[in-house]
Amino acid sequence: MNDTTLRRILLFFLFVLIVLVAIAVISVRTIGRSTETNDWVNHTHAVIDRIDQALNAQLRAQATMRAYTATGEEADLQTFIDASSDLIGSMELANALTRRETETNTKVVEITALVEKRVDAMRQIITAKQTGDSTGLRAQLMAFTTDSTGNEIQRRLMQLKETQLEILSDRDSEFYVYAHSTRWIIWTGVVVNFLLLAGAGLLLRDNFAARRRAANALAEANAQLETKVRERTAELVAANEKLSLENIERQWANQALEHQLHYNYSIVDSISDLVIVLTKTGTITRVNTATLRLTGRATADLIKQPYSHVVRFPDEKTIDPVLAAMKEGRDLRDQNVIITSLQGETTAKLSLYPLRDQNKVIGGIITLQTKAS
Amino acid sequence: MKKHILIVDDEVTIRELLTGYLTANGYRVTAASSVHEAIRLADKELPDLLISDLQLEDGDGFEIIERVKSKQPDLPVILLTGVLFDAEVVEQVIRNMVNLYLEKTTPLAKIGESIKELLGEKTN
Repeated sequence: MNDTTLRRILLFFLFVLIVLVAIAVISVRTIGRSTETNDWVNHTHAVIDRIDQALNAQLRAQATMRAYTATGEEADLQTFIDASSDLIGSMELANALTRRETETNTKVVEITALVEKRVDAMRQIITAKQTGDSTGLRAQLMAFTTDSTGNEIQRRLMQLKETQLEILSDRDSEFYVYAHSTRWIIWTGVVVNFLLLAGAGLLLRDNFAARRRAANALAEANAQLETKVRERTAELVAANEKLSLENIERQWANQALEHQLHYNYSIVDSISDLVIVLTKTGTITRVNTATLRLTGRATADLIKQPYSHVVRFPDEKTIDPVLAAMKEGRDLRDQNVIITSLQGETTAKLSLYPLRDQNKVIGGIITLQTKAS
Repeated sequence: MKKHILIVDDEVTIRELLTGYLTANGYRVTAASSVHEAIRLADKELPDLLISDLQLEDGDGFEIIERVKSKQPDLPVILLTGVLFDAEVVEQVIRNMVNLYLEKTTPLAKIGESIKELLGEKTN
């Protein structure tokens, strides 16, 4: 895989990871916020519940107080006591629940003060009834009735309740939006991740396809190379075989030549006459065995010597007849000569035959016939 | 199957060159340097063609030819020699024993063609 593709794939997976982490964080935050909101909602409902209880208790306390003042029944008195306890208790609970909410708590405290004042007033009325002070009772009842504290308490409690309900509604809407947007973010993240993974998959597919193509091309190139190598090897083998055959034929021609040469030497050496080969200037180049035998000399002693070293004419000649004949390209037949050897001198008949190469005289061949040969 | 040729010559160069040439041309070749060795090889496996020199160290080529022809009368024989024969001698004496007489100076290609003709193979 080349570097660019690898980098792209790593980048894709990095993005996938980032999106996954973001989704995880958002999900955790949403869960946390949901729990928090849930707690807050429960708390707010508890406060509203306490407010409702306080409202209810106040009405019950007032009603049972009036009933007791009218009937003097113990049951009404007990009911009043329960209701007033409920009222005080509800306000205390509301105070406790709203301790961390400064504004709300301030209102609750104010309402609690009014509630205590109202409950005191009602207790005084109850006491007046219990003591049989009908004048005082009537006056207190009148004052109680005209006192707006009860209405004020009710108004403030209702206001507080509405405030809490409004906040609840706002919070609920806010949470809905938050949850909805979170849902969208998560789904978008999932889709983006899916697309990124699909992209990575496509890159990988393309890369594998490219690698397959490259491998096929390489295999084809290798096959072609192998074919070429085989062909070339076959050519070389054939050329080598041809060279070997040519070499054998050349060697055979050489041995044939050697055989022919050997045969020629045999022919010359078989002649009993002396045979001496001369250059145009009369220098000896070859002698046969008969010459060596008769002169008693070795080949090395005769080669490169003038022929007069071995042969001389009995008469002094002004012109050497052998050299003259070679120069003129004519034969000499049966000339009387004397052969000089280590054993002495021997008379012989000399004949000369010019040696020709392409019609040009290059030397001569002397034959010497003694009486014995 | 490759045709088998028996070569008999006391010169190692002749044996080597002929063996190399005939092997390259698709023949199976055995070589002997003496009459004794040639007879031993022929007794072991009769050749399809015999090429023999005349003058050998321990005898002459005719001994081998007679021995081999006694077992296979129609065996083709080439006498390859440096000795010169008179045409009349070749005609009268040798023709009954040998199919072809060649000198050692004969080119290899000519020897090859002659072998093909004697073995009944197609020539170029």
